[in-house]
Amino acid sequence: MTDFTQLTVKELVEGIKTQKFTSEDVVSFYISQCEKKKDLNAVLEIFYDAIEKAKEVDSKIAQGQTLGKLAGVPIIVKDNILNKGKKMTCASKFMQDFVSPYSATIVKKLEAEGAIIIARANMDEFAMGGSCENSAYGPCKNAIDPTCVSGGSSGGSAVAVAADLAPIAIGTDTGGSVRQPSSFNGVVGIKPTYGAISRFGLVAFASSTDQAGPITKTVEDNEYVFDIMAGKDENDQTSIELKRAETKPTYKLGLCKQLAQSIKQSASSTYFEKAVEKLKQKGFEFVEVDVPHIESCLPCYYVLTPAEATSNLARFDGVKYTTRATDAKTLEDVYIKSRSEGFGKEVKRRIILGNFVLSSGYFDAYYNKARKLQTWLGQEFDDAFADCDAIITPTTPYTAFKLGEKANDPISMYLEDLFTVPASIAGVPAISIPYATAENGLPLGLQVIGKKHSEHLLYDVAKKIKEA
Amino acid sequence: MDEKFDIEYLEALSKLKIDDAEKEKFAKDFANIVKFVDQITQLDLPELEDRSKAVCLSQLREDEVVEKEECDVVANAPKKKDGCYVTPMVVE
Repeated sequence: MTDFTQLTVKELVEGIKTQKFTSEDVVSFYISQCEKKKDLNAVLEIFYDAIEKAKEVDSKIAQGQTLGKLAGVPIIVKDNILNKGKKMTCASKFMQDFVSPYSATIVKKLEAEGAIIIARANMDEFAMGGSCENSAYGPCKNAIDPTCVSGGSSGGSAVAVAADLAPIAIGTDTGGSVRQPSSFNGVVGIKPTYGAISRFGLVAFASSTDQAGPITKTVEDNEYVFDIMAGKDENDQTSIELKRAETKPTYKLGLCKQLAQSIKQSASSTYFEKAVEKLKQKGFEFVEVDVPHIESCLPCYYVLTPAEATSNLARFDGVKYTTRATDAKTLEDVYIKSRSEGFGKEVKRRIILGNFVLSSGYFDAYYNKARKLQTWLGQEFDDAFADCDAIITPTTPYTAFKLGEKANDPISMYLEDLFTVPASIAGVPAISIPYATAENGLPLGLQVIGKKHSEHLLYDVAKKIKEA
Repeated sequence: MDEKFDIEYLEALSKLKIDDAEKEKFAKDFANIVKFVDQITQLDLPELEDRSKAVCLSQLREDEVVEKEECDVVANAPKKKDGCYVTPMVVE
């Protein structure tokens, strides 16, 4: 029998279309993988009707019908993406009974190409966190070392691909939530240009940085799925029509001067330096670039995103689509008791922080300053990309840490996002690719950041780095 | 910044209550987080003239009536009646 885990997405589609194997074989195999590896807690629910959908694909192929680019291929989506008729909880007990009334644009696009969604993936509650330990349904464990965290917030999605629960998973990334767990589990994940992929049908966390992105084993697979997901959507006013960046025979890569010290102090440092040396030998040109305010991105992020989250999460009120506290007597009671019982600790912390930075007397000093910095950062990145094709950094300062290690220290958890947050703040694309295995046996990711609309160039850089 | 935060006021703005048992740890963590983000208040950033540099700009469209997929908006409400949300009475 074919080992599906060794095939690329294109090979899977080709095999299904040429009837070398059936979609039912592929979907059943991956569902059995989800069952076998349920201890990882990467998926919150398996959709068994996927097998019927696979049979339909097989029967259409037998009838000679033309099918799409993902015909019969199983996919797992993060639990904050609407999938009509299916439960979606944002890994929160507050949303435990919610059933999606419609599908996200990206779900429709993937399904229009024949993809079959087989499960929903675990995540940090409302996508707030970097370890997946904030899930109300228990933490997702690392695919390589289950005593370690999966990373987050799209931990379930990254582990699903790394542990062969699906060839493709979809995550969302607000400050590193696709890239960091991809790095921790040795897979490929992209955070696209802001607006490149529609946000319609994604549960909003921070609207000015939220972006969905595919997670796959290879760069080629990632590009293939990204091309299907990208595009302007009339239901998302911030979505854009992506331009296709020209690729080049050789690339000039930027090393950000202002991050040099932080990289040097991180555990990723030696591996990163080795990678740079190797890439130099293989013909990549390197140049130092300035992004003067890059280190202010992290505090900026923890002002902007809680502020936006505060507004976005005001709709979860015990009235419209969440559970309601049973003993609430007045409307005010309904709001306060339901939200206090429903939201987890980290979500509450960020809502309160958001209200603090938006409150009278602090709004200008914090929120307006952060918003200004966000715009300024976009300019600084533009200037840096005048001197190089892409900037490289480690994706994370460290490999995956032990479960529980940082759970009680929010600042230390926030520092995990040091290298991933700048691209989110500036709205530019960034991809994480596996490039080294640390002494502890865990993978490390290399992050390649590009200018807006440079996804196809980033994919080409990533392929050339992998070949080097 | 070095000040006591009025957590009760922020709870009220947030329509949330922090468990009494967790309040002390919450206030301590919160103070550390505010200290951490406080560094941006010291930045001196000149205004950028070009608004097109903003990361997230909505592209406006004509206000036209369009047909959308039918969607039962109250389907997920914890209490509902005749297509409406049910809440405790808000008028005397």
